[in-house]
Amino acid sequence: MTMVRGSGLLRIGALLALGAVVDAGAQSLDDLLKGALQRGKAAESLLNLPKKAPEAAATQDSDLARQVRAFSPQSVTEEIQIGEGVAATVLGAAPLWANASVQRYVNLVGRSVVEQSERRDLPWSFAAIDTTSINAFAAPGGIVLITRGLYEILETEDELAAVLAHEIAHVNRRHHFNVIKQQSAVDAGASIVGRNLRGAATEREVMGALVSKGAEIMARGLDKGAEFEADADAMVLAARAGYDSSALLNVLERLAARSAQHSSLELLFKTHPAPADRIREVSAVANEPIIAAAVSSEAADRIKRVGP
Amino acid sequence: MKTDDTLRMEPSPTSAAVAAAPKNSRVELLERKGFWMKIKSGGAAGWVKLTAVAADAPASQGAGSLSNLASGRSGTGNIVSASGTRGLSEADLRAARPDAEAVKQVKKLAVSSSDSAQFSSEGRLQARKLAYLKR
Repeated sequence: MTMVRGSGLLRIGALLALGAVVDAGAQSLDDLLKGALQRGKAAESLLNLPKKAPEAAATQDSDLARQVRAFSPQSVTEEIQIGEGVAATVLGAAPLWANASVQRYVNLVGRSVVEQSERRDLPWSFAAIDTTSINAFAAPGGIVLITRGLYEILETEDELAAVLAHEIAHVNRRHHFNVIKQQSAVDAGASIVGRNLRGAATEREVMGALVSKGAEIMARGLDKGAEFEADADAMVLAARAGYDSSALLNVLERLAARSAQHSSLELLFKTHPAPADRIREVSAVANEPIIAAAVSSEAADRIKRVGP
Repeated sequence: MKTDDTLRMEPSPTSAAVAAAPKNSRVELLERKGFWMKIKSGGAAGWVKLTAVAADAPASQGAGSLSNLASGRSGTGNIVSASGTRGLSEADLRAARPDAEAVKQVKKLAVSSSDSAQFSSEGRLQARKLAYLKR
């Protein structure tokens, strides 16, 4: 997978030409990107000021709801198109699990969580893929894939909701989409410099580059901050839908108890912070309403009746 | 202990106090329930909030670490896949040939809002109003 075309020198040159995300002292492309991400976050929090006063009243009209309203229709269309390409890549690596009842079940649980989120209008679909690896993937635009290996270590519907809610949070917050776009802006700079040699990219080529960037991020992972944010959101989203807010802890504990060396966890551990660190983070951010929602749902055991 | 805290009879802030657990004291982790941890401190056992002990847990997976505690339900669902399927590695993802046909199938799996509403109601799931957490 070609991540960045052209030489490093050309890339840096393009960045300077764009004048977009350049830190005078930054040494590497990674530093530049990190800087851009941090500035993005700072700008986001500035834009969101003043914060809504009482936390309880902020329930359905969150900062996220306001951000979502500001997404342009074109950007949402692009997000969905990229996501379909990224999902196609994951599905090219592992086929769908031929188990219709599980497929329907993950869609019902996933949709019930989505219904309580700010982006319920996206074309959400969920699927289990047939691999022993323990993992789940969120493609931009609302395609969420959970592996059979992860599904099979889940003990309750609350835990399934927690896992899907983590992926839903990635989509809601545009975690992958934003990284794809930021990195592609860097590449676009490189192609402006190289345009005389290669000619202008077609729309199809641009989409192809965005999709391969997305697949690259699936293989490499997001930054820790995005994962911790998705965990925190997952507790909220699952609890909004009526599930146990602490079910995510059960899953993380089960992952932590497994050997990090085990091949079924290799990709997950490579692309996510250590489960013990995630447990610490989610316990630290849980507030009183979330702690009060740490109650097993009446639907918890429904997962055991999903055959065969 | 990360902070001074009170051991309680039950995992609830209004439950009766059992004993005090002073800051920096070493405690034994017994059981987690929701965001509460049952611990043994001195001669007494009782419940404290997870955050009161969380920061003290080792990041590694030594005995007694938070991450090693069973959730109380372990062992029932730990099925190892018996099928002929294999793992999904970073290399597999990088080498994958996109399967657009499978994406079409996935999109057909989507359920409607009314389907999920019925599903939630059958499961007696009660929606809650909750704000996102501040980090």
